[in-house]
Amino acid sequence: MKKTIALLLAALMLLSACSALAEGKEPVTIRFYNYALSETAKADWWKNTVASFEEKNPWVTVESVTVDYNSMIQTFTNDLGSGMSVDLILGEVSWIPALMEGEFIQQPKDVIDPDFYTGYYDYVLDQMYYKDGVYAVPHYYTNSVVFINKDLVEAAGMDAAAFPDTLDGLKAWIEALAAFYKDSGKVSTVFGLTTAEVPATGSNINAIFTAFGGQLLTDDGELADLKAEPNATAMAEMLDFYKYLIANGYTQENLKLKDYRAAFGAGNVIAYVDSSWGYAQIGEVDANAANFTVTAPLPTTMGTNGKGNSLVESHCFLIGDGLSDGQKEAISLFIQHCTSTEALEGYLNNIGLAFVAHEALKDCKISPILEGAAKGVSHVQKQTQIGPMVSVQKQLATMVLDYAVNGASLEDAVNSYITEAEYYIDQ
Amino acid sequence: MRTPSAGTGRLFFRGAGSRKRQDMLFCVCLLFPAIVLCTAFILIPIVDSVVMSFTSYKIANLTKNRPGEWNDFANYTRLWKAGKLQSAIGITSRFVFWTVSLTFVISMALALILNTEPRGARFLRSVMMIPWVIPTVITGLLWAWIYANPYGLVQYLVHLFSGGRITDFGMLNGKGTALWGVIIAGLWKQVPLMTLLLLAGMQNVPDDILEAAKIDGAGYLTRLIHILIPYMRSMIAVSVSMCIIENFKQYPLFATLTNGGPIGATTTLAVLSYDEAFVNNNYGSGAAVTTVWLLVMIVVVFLFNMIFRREKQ
Repeated sequence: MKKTIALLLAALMLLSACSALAEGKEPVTIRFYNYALSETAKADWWKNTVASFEEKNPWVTVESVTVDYNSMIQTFTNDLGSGMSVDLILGEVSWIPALMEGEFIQQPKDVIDPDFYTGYYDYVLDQMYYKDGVYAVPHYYTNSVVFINKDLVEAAGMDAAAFPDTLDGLKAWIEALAAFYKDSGKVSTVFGLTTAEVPATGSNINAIFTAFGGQLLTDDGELADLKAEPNATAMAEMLDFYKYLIANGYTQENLKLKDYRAAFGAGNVIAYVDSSWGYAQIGEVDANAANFTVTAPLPTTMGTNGKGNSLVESHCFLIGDGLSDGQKEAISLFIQHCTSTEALEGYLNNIGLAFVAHEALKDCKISPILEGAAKGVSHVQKQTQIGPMVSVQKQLATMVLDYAVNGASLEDAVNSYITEAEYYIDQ
Repeated sequence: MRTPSAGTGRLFFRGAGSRKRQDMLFCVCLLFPAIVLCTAFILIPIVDSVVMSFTSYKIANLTKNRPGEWNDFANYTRLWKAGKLQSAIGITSRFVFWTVSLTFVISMALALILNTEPRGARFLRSVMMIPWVIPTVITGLLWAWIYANPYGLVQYLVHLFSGGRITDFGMLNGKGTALWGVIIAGLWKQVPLMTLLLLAGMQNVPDDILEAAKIDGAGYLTRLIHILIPYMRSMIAVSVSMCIIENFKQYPLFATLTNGGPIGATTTLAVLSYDEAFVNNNYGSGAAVTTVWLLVMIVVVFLFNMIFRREKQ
């Protein structure tokens, strides 16, 4: 029996080698680190996508490595330290500095076919710039999206499609809904903004600061002068907005995005700000959530200077260092395959709602849920990446809680933030 | 004192000189595996971590196998100047003090009750083991749901007992209450083990001495203070030492409940060390926190043992 299995395996290997040689290419293997494999729906999509790619390119074997999202960087570190190769990673923009400093990754322009590379939207690619170049390519992206429970808004006699486009309008909208649902016991949050001290909240608050017209980091990767205009006004107005929401009970302090997703799915939240792919968790709570979920962009006039701009978050491909020519070609083809309409359309509509980042996908349909938010899709502000980005952004949550909950003065809260942020930046 | 196997051991070292020398060689042989294992898996990592704390050591040092760049006390001074070390030591000490004290008091009370063999004592002992058996991360998640605002049980009870006046009590959200939230979860987890240890110690106190004291007119408190507790001294020392160490190195509860927040109110040395090393990828700085953490723990356990020994004398 063992002999038969061994013979069959040998025959299989010989066949795949022959088919590769028939194409005139050496067989190559790429080790693909993918945290999405630990989530069932995404894992199925990735398995099918890898299988269809291998079918088209029999000379390439994609060895998928499942890793936990929270320990990805430690896993790379350990694997590289023990001599294994990390050829391709599905990651996030905030990982770029650590992976680049760790000499894990190389610039995609040296690997991806130039014609395909030029098709990426500049405003998305710009977010992946660190020190001397772009270190990742997006699979898809999101900016800040307001998720709205259409049924709850309409039950209050308001039009869910007419989401306000000014800060004052937004406050009036919130107050009208709060008054309507005051004693109903049905709604826990009228307008949710996350303030828990976790990395995802940090990047969410940074996006809100951007919407108010602020810029956290300079192009050189230094902390911007938060006491000079327009940052000072943007910061003051943003903090006042959080205080207004928390003090009036329109939002709860210290909640994570996942808390809002669960509560939104359960029908207890009227609106909250999230990344587009947050819908995946909403859908887990209520499979029919699409019936009551609509989206809108952030208001285009947020305070004195805010244009409703947002920052980009992206699930992106990071390419390992030290690849052979064959591996580079295989990775280039694999990324193109994953970024094709054929492969991605189903994913973007049913699994991880997001916007497309490449002109090859311009005909790719996006989810109807995102139609409202699509109006603000290009309201994007470039942000320089820095090594301690996670901590610098996370401290924003601390500042918000300090000001809005613990009663610190504006000056103390901002000064304390500057001290903390500089501590991380100067390390 | 001669061990039973010393004679057997001497057979191997028959030509190695005096009997004392043969015994010594045999002892070294027996201890050798333990020495090697302790050196390889305990001492070398500790020394390596201490050395790392004096260097600038980032991810590339690890992956490219490059030695860290020596930077004297820069990691320590940076942490100290930012006030992070002092704050973390203070929070860790407060957490350890209250958790250990309350664990001891509650466990002692429970052990005294169980020692009277009330009806259902065996069942109670079995049920009490449940929190101890549950993994700490699960305990953290469980308590996170209990504390959750606005849907948690605690919020519901506060709302109920305040007559509906308090509607948004978040135990883990307030700077002043978050640490207590973790302490309560820690107590739930640790009280069962200490109760059983103290109960075991209590059941070893000779009944005849307690009977004699009772006949001599000693009241309950007198018997407790002058007989029961002195007899349980070694068990108390062991269980409290274990509890101190357990809480000094407590990380999972903080990671699942507060992650160091809000506003740094629960950033203990464990949380700070993790953040420096694995969030900011600054292994040198993380190692500096770990070194201080180790020193503080050694000093506290040493002081506890010293005080305990002095009282015994």
